[in-house]
Amino acid sequence: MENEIKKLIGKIFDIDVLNISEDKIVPDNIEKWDSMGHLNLITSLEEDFSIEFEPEEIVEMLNGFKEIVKIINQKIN
Amino acid sequence: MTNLQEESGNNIINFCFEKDIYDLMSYFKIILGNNHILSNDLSFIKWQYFNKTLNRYNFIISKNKENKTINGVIGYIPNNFYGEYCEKKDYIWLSNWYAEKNTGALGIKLIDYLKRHEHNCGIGAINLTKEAEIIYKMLKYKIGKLNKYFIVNENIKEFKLIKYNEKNKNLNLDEKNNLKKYCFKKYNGDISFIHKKYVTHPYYNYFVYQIENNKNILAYIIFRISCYKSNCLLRLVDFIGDIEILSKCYYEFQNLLNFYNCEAMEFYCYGIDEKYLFKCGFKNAEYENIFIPYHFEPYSENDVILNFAVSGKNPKYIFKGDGDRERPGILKEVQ
Repeated sequence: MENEIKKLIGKIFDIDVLNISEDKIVPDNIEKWDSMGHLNLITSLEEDFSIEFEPEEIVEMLNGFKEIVKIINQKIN
Repeated sequence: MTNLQEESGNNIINFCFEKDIYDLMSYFKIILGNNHILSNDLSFIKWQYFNKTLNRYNFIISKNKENKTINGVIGYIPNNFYGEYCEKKDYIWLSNWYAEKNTGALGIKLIDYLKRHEHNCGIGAINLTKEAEIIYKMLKYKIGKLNKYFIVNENIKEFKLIKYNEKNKNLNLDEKNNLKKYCFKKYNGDISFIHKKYVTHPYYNYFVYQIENNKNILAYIIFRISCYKSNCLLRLVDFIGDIEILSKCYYEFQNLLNFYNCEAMEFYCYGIDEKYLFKCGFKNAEYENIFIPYHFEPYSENDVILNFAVSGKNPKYIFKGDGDRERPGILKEVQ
């Protein structure tokens, strides 16, 4: 699952996410990760994992990759 | 005092205090232009945004952590800013939402900060950009648009301001209902919401009337008049009271149109059952395909759709006077 999320982030923000440490996969480090980009990511995650995020979760996921993994884990387990 | 400052990535988010206001005005100069009222007129900004109790402005700003320059802002107008107003008093209307590129989704962070730090029963915005609409949708705000209604002055034969002709003339007016005349009297009360928001507005001259029946006040209407080349439009911006009363006011509205020499009355609103409006002669400008100008400062013939987003405890009715839609834009050309 984590790799799938990384690939998605890489594709949406046009970066080589596999060569970035997980701590650094946050909006402030990635140029294209703005509000609209974040919403594109949310939409793709919802489609790929067949889940739906609450507004609070959408905001929390701005804390980056690790938070995204944590929230998706909570939702699918 | 509680520390309200929050670090978020490369940004520092906080309320706008007195020490920040000139920097914010300079930021507005960059994004809104030199002539915009928010770039120039501090007394207007104080009137619309300064919270005397908390000694801060109703703006959330973000600064770059390293060079301390402003890189994002969101303004807001709580309904209770104008005083007690029971229907929507804890509702907050957003305005002026901007975030620089490469700031890590700052736009969403600003609105989240506001939601967490300012007491509210709901947040809304009127007149959304495409990008803002997408963000609001994703954050599960309800999206809609204000309907635009109008009544034309029966005594005018040739309309110069609105694109109206005889084929649009048929009314669904409930004649009998409208003969039960209410009395329209110029407002002379002391309701703080009306006084602060409209009577003391620094730029626009609002007219406030109370609708009475046997000396009992049933409702208030608030309007202003916009003109272009001596042709005028009466713009109803707010209504306080029982909506059903509106359905019996056609002849009083005609009196106002004649008294103020206006071609028509315009009324942007959402949430009102149209049957009440049709009963007193209002028509839906969209159904009738009627052009009614929106911009008078300067005048332009572009039609405007006012869409909105609301969250939380949604207001039952939304009027053009809600939010910041009644804020003048370009300083020099305000009428």
